[in-house]
Amino acid sequence: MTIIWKTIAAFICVCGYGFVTETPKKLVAYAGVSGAICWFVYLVAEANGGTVGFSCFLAALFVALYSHIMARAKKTPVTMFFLGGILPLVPGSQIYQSVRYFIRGEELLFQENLTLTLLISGAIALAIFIMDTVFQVLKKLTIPKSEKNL
Amino acid sequence: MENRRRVPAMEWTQKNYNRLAEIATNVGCIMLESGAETYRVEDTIDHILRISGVERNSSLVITTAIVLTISIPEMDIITIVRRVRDRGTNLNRIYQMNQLSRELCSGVVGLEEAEKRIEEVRSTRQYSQKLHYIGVCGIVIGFTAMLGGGLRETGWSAVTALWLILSMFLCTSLSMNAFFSNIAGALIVALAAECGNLIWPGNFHSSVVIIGAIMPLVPGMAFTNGIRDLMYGDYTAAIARVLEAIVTALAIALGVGLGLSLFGMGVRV
Repeated sequence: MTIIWKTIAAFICVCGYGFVTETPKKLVAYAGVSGAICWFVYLVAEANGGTVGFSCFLAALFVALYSHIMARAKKTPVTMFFLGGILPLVPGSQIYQSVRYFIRGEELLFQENLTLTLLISGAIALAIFIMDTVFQVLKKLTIPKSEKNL
Repeated sequence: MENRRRVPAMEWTQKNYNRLAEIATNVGCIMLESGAETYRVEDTIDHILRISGVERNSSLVITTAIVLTISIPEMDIITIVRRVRDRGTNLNRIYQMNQLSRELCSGVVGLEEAEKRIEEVRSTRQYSQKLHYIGVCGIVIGFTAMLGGGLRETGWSAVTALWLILSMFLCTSLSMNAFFSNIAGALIVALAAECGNLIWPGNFHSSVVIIGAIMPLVPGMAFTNGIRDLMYGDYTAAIARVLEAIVTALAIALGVGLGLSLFGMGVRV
């Protein structure tokens, strides 16, 4: 139940982000869905024993998949859906925690959180890399050369 | 629908080449200012320039400038250099320009209408400033709830969001640089969120509120664009973007750190 409640919160949050980044009006809700997918996958993965890094990777992978599909369906740049989608994953909380522990002088916890920040960033990056490559390969396979002008 | 040609074929005079180059520069400029990836900007400019049928054209886009050139046989070579200073996030403008370039290429839109639409996009904003701030509120409240904040934390996050908006408003109206306004925003957020501890002592998780409230400042766009530029082999642009993300994150960390220390001192005094 909490998972559903948190997913709805993610939807609201990403729609708000849509206003801030001036997402086109008719795409705001789709971007919100992207955020909801992201957080749902993350929570499910974490509840089933995934580590933070792996759960982030999985969630980012699903967001990237959704964004690429939607971008092709709506004929827009991928960024429209992607940017809001990964917002829930952005390691804001880890940055905060590391600063807090740094101020308190707890070296070990500071280092742990800093590593986690880098790990999550890397996981998101890897997911983007993989999905972009997959879709590039697909494009090459499915579109004949004569139609490739756009 | 998109393939239907409405615009009659025009004669390619020097003047029309100039206009096309100018359009391509303006489109690229708007996209870059709105935070598009550099490879996408280069791609769009190349597509637009190719309408003229001239094969020998090229463009170079880095995070802060656009250079493009068309060399037409038996005519003057056109080169335009444009310095791009503003940088923000405006997905609608990227979307509009993307649409325009598609329509230009498929011949639905002519040069005149393209010029008109560029002017239009430059002068309009899709959402009012008020809606923008409501969006910020939505992010903060949504995030606090998402990270497991209870009713108390979520309620207090709304108050914190108001302080953040006040800080954002002051910083934009005084046109402060991004680094300082991030520090100021994070500082105010940390102070406001910690004040919840005074109202409900020992029964309030201020961390959740702070994390939620710094989210509108977090450099998501710079980060993802940096990665995608990196992937397309555009290392100069990628380094600039990733560095931007790191500097912003540092500014936020600095602000939160200052806020927490100040609050700790204030409580002790």
